[in-house]
Amino acid sequence: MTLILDNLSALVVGATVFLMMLSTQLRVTEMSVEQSTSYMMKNQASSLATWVEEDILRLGENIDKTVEAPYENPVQANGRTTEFTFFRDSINTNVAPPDTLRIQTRYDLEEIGERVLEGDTLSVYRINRNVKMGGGAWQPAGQSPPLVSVFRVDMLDMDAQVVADPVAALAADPLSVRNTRVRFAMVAPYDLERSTLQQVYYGSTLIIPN
Amino acid sequence: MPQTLLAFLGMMIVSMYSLNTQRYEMLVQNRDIKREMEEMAGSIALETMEIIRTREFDQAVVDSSVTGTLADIALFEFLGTPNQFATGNQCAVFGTGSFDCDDVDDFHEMATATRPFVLGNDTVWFAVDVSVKYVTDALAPAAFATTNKEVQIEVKDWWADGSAFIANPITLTRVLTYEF
Repeated sequence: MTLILDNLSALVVGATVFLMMLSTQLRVTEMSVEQSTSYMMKNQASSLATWVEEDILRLGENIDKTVEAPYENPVQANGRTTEFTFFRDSINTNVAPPDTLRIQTRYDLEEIGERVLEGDTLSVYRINRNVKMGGGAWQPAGQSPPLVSVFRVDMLDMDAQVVADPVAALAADPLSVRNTRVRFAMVAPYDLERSTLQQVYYGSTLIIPN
Repeated sequence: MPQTLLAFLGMMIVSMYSLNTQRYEMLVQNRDIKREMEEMAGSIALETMEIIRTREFDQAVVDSSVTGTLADIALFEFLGTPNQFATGNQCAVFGTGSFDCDDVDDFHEMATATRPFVLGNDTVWFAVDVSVKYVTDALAPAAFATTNKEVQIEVKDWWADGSAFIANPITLTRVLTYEF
């Protein structure tokens, strides 16, 4: 007892120092997990952005826009695009007459579940990519991680204003739809309450090739 | 006495460690937010470039006074240096006024536009500035009219209190060429 009382101040100071060390160390560990999560989120968003861009840049390839629209109107619901189908033609010039194969690509938004971010409940989705070659059946050809919270495809005019019915607009004027804008947001794979980045955003406006 | 000094030293070391950790966390947070802003700014720059790219090369094309020959170069707007084109246009397309910016150089040094990056319930605003100049076929700056106009777009985040996460604007440059 005497020993404890003699060293009481040292004990108090020691305990305080220990607790401070512990809490700081915990925060350092949390930060390290946050950074890994953030990296994973950015990496997955970047992969998704890459294949979406590669697809969209070939939208309407070898198709005469004065004859037909190389896409169907994006299906929008609750501010999100739930389905978007577009196509291009592949031409085999080694045969006479040249053979044309239509390649259709479709993005479907599939609801996977819900996530709570800063008190808000968000639905999270997976983007399923399906491809149809010529008259064949739709085949799955890739999917995003089930972390997409927003996915929106808009067809834009020359002033970057959204065209409500792009197929009809293009039929009336082949120059009425000039760009495709794709935007999406992706949530972190793990819930971290104090994380700086809860979602990453991506957006790209790509001109439709002539 | 030595005990007190040791305790004081211990407290000091832990406080410094804790302070450094907090500082590092702040830096990481700022860096993450800045990177996200830069990503969005890049998207806004690209969208702005696509808007400009859909315009005619020059007012002479809009007015249909061109002939599709090299003689057209003499018809292209050129006001001298340093500003080769009129400045301060308030382009209707960006909502800053009612001027019909219908050719590429109408955007040169236009009134700064603020463009939204809208996604879900969040909107972040970005300030957009554009400069246009003639360049040669070798992409060197030209002090005369050519068939190439270099469009440079600078974007940074815009907040009502004047603060910004992006210290140096994101720059996107493209050369647009006259099609004979």
